[in-house]
Amino acid sequence: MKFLTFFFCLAAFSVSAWAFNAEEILHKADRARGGVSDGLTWNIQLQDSGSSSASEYEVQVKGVDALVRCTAPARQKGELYLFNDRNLWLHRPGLKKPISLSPRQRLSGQAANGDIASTNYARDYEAKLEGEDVINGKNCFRLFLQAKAKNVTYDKIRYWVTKDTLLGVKAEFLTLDGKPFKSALFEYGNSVLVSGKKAPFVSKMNIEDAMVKDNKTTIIYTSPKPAAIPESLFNVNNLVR
Amino acid sequence: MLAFVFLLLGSLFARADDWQQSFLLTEENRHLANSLLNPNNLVWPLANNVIQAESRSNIHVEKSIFLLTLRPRAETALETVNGANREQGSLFFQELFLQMKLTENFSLSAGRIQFGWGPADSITPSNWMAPDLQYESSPNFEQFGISRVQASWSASDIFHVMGAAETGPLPDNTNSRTLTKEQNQERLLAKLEWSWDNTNKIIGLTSGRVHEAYGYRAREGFYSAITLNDAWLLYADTLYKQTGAERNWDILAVPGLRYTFPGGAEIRVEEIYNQAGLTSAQESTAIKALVATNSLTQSLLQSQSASLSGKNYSYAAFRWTNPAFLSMLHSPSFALRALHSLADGSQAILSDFDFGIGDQYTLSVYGSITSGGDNSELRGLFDRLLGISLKMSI
Repeated sequence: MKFLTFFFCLAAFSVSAWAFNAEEILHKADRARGGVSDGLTWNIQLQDSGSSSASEYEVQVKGVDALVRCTAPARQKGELYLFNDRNLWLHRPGLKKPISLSPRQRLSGQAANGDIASTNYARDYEAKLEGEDVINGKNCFRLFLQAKAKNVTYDKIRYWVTKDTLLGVKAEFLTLDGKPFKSALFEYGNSVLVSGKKAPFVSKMNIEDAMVKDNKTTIIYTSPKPAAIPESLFNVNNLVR
Repeated sequence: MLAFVFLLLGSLFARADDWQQSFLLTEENRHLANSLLNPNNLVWPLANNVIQAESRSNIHVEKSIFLLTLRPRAETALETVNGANREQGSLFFQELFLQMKLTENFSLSAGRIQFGWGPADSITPSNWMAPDLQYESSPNFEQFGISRVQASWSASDIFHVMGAAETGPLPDNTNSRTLTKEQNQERLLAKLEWSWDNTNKIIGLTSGRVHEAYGYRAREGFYSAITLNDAWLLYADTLYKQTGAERNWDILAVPGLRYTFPGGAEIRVEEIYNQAGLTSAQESTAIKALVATNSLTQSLLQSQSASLSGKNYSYAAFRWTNPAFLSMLHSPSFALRALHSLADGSQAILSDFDFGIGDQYTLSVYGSITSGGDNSELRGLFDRLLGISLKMSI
């Protein structure tokens, strides 16, 4: 009887420990993709396969809010995307009020609107540790992420995080019935000062269609740096100035 | 004078912290309604065909706590009216204002400023200074700013207060086809907006005064939006309007809902209740009386971007931006809108489709079809309209 009690206690402890670890792993992996509470800015360039033109954006992030400004191509220059937590607004120069968009809406190629400033997987998804795999020669945790709310970019994600550096290196984005419809590979060639310490920061995200492998979109991240950003910047009323 | 303006603009371009420049070439063909309002297009000779070239600049110059925003527009148009050609041109500022940022959260602005808010699509009653009726089919349509002074305070990302007082008009040339002339009155407006639950719930209150023939009359507005989930949004926008010597209160209300499909397409349905509007019988009497004084066409032209004269309307809209099946096009966008007057049975269906070509060009095709009786409200001016526009951005 004592053995059984001990066994169940141990099992319960193990389950809670695994759940805690998965959340912790996800939280730490987010930091290298901009998921920090202090203000950060960076630039991104978005390039679709088979297209000669690239889109460029300036990103300002603080906590759960982000303001993204399009700087190229010329026909989209000046467009502003405001992320208030999971809600998204678009404002175009000359228009009198912003319009609300779904983060799931396609932005360009394989990238959804939510991909350009989606930094907080730990906030948006419930994580479970599924197992371990080797990705590009590195030992990784394999996490299964389930959306906590319905208005996030993806319903389910399978996410691989390196065991030694806790960086998310691969993601599979899944349909409601669990089939992958696109995947992404991440690289971390940038660094940024977080709480006075130099930390790795994402430099490239390659998104690939699961069905048509030639359909690819590459997001290149440059110039990440800490910045003092006022919260009023993210008030939708201030978009129309 | 013109040389001075261009010299000034050139100098501002050179100093601008941010600017966008675009040129538009548009052809619009209209099948005009032969109605009691405008029989054979003789009472108010409207253009049957318009070819228009337009320059649009958006300039921001930032110096210390000051931010200057300029949106100069230059238009020239060749119009065909009942077989004869006429040329028109205008130079104006869609917006021109100076903002002084006194703190991170508090700013003062003065000049011609456009402004909008609220979740409703067809019309925004609580924004009674510029209610923005969705009756323009061109996706390039821009509304005119209103000259005013404004104070704005954002306590955080979820709380915002704004107060504004209207000032005199800016002296510029506005023969623009696409802009309603600035109509200045003595008007004051305050707005308070609060959002919570990660901005899934929004409440806004507006309060204002407008100077009319009998003195100052009150305008009290309310708007709210509740995001139920990623698919459903419920909202309402309402104005309580005090009018006349008796200070009667009328209500203009727009309840609505929006459904967003997983692929990003969205559909909206709205109902418009205008207590002060006219029933079908009243509208018919009013039209006959006003045609006698030849003023309704003028007022229709002005009102079509500002107000509705009927009592009840229904509105539906479908929009789809960047649909996956059009992934071979750059940023394709499609919209279909329908406004139906329950008072006289008239309706307007408007549609537009645009997409990018390369880095610089955007091609838009748009049109509208109206139906209803000869003197119905929404068939007052056009039976059909078809336009095509090429925009080059540099």
